[in-house]
Amino acid sequence: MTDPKKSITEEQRQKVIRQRNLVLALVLGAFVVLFFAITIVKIRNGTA
Amino acid sequence: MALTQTQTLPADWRDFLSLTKPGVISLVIFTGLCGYLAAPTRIHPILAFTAILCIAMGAAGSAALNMWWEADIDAGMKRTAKRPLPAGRMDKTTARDFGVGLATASVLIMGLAINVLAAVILAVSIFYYAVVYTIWLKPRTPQNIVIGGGAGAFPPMIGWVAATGDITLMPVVLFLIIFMWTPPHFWALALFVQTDYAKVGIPMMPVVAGERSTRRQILAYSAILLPLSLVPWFIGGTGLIYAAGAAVLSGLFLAYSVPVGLRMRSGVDDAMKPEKRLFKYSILYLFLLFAALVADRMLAGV
Repeated sequence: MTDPKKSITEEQRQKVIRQRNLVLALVLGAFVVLFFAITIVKIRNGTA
Repeated sequence: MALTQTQTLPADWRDFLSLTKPGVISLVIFTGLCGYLAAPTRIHPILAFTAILCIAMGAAGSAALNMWWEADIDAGMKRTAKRPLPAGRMDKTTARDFGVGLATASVLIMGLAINVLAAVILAVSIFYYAVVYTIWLKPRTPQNIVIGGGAGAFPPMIGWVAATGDITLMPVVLFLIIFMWTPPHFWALALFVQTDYAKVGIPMMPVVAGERSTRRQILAYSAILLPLSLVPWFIGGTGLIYAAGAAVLSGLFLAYSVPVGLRMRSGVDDAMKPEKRLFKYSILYLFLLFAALVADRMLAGV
């Protein structure tokens, strides 16, 4: 975790933002896969 | 890149993760999963995974909202001062929006993918924890933990309802077991961190009613928990494996509560070992009790 009280550089700031974006992209990607899977299950069950 | 000095560093992903109280979430996921596995019917594994994910997301959203509301209180307590908001690593609006987003998404996905009843109970549990407990009861009454314990008791009920789409006596009993487990679990903790709660003005039982009364109540709730944990067997919801496990585990819980209930701290240097032992065992107790419930169901061939 980062300590905001330490003096920071633009490079450090960009690194934190890049990491955050990567995690967000992974989470969103996982949700896309999950929703696709739920849809297939619902169609097969005849409940979609 | 140029080494330009900037004012603040944005919160990183680990700050968002710690906002969800991962330790609490693991217990919520476990009890929710056990509620599902203890149910007499099954849904498709992907839907079951989604239901447990929604329970976890709802709990994570509630935790984030709790930290948003209590940021100032957390700053005044040693145990919570390093959380992202009091430590200044995240602003309050971000935490609030993160909590609302998670909570809303969990209810919507539960309603659309699983069933409406499970979504309604999940919504009630989020409201119960974030509003009834965090905003309303916790700063006002020493009974906050007793009533607020209901919020933590919802996951097995939601797991059960996700599987069956129906509420019967069994999920209500599972709810009551966690409801009765919460006061001795939390008051054991409050006994050895009570100076922190007193400092920030939270009316926890040891602060308001005193240590002696809290200790007696820990003992009383632990005594009630013993027969209550056997009710699933009495009503025919489980077999002898669960009954034996519950009798041993709840008997031990009561045994650990007796020294806590009958003693008083010897002085400021008291290490509070019985209280710490009870707190640690109470976490293990809930894991093992629900594990016994699932083991009983699995061995019964359901």
